[in-house]
Amino acid sequence: MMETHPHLVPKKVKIALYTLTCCEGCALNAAIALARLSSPYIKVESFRLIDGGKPAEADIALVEGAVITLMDKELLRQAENNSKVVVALGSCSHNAGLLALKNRFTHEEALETVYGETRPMIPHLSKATPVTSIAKVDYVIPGCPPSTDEIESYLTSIILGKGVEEYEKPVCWECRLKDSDCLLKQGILCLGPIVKGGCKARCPEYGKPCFGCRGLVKDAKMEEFLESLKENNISEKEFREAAKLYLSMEVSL
Amino acid sequence: MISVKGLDRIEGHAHIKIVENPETGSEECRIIVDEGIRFFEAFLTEVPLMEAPVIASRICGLCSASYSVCLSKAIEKALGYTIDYEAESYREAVQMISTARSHIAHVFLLWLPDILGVKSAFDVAEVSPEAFKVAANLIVEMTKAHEYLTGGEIHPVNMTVGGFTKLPRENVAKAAESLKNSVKQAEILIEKLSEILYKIPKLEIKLPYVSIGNEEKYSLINGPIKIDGVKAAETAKDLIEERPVSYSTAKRCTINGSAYVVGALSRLNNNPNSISSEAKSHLETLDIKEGDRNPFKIPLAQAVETVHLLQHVKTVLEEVEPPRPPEEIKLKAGEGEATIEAPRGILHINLTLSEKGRIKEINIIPPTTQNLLHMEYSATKYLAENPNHPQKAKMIEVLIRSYDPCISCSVQ
Repeated sequence: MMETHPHLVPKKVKIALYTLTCCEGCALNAAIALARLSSPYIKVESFRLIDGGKPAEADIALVEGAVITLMDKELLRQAENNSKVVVALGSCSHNAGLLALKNRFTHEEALETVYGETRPMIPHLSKATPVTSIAKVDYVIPGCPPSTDEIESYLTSIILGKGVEEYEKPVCWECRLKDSDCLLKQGILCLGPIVKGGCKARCPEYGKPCFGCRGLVKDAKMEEFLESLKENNISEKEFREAAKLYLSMEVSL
Repeated sequence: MISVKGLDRIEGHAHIKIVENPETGSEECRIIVDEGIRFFEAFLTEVPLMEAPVIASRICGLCSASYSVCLSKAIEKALGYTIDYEAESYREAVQMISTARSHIAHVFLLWLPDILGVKSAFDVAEVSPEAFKVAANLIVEMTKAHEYLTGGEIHPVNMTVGGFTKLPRENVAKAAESLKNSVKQAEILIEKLSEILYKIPKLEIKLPYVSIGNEEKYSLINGPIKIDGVKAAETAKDLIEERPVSYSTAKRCTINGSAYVVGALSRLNNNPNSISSEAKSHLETLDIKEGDRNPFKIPLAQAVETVHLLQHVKTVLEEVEPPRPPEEIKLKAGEGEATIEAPRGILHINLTLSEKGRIKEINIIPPTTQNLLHMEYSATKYLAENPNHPQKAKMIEVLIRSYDPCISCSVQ
């Protein structure tokens, strides 16, 4: 067999996954995406659920979860130091996602509600903070969680050095392409017109309104949206309530 | 202190501490959970009621359907709303697929490396390629079925208070197609596991096993609570005492002052008459005795239960009409509760709703929170019985991993 010249053998792209505080749903989808991408040119160096996840030198760090404990902060520092490219994976990492709901209370109030007098001595930050606010992040894969297909396609683009074009159309775009029934027109609050798509409008397809897990679309037409709510007899108060779930860092409530 | 070791290959962040009891001189085990607190019990009060099950499903990526189902049931109880047979059947089918997927992922990706003496699931793929391939394929097919039925690979989109917002008939057919070989695949995996039984360590923990228990129909979402095979209460509400501890963000639970164990082995022990005959025969294949109290065998019980669950799901998908969207649901004040079986055992939620139908107060008791004390107890017992084991810290890790702890859940 002909031997390949050593300079022509491509180096393996090393990938590490870091888990901060979260549900690890993104890691599960990433595991399936990585298994599909698996080739002689990709090596998973560290993945908590699969191999224990000791921080390792890597080309790409996928970071899921929000920064909630001091340990999260330390893990994130290791991800930055050990990797060439840092990718925020999923909404907790991107914009703190629904974990930012905790920030509506002081840390003390939240502790009192959940633990009463005996407090766990594990050091926490006072607020749930997204990875993008603390670390220098090269790419964001949005969603709660991003689908396996999406993680696979983002990673392919990043690995091939093609860069990632952020999806900048609202959820409504894909929803119309699918011909799903418009929930807003039925008087049901749906954030589709102002929220970043790319999710294939899965929630409205299944009869559930969009709650904005991917964040606001660039240049969201807020006034037009509020006007359309009025036309469909939906109160602005209801909108402010819904925006608490995933958009609390982007919409003034 | 004798040693501290991080717990790898489990969901979430925790480590084991082995300490010497200054009075007795014996070694004791503590599980330090340092997972961050997300405060779901505080912030669910801020969430619109119909979205609460969708948000609660984000407590866990591995058992997300459980939170969606349990919270929906607790809210329905508070509102006095009864869902129809079809919605109930599909709700349970989703809960079963989600449980079976979680089981197979635990047994073959997280636990099997311990028993085979290798480091990770990647090595399992090398050492036992056939088992790995079947397990991986089963996980992928169950994920597809989950997505067809709920709209989400991980978190259900269409499941909420009242049942399903939308479940197209063609999706049910696609889910059935994805799962058509699943029972057979689960049985192949049981055969594979039967080859390594001699490697399962021996241990007997004489503490109560607790789960939902039914005589006729094996259920993950309905039924009274049984303790050691005997009916103890209709729900877990007044049974479980939960208390915080300073060394861990996860609380600890007792029943009548005692540690107890929940999960697949407890369910099989408490439902001897309602599991399928095939699953029953596999109990024998994997050497699970009546009332077995060896926690090292929990993963074997998960494999056996998977066969029963997938058989049941197949019947529902073939025989039950897809559910229609719920009738209009009127919000009102009330108190509600629900106890179901999540993959790792009993999940209990009780709550109070305000007049406008907002959650005023909510308490969530996840299964791993309940198992922590049992884990500490059995680890301490293992240390006492095997004082000279050359790798005792490692064995404690293997023991804890057998329980399939879900640490994010245990804190939430």
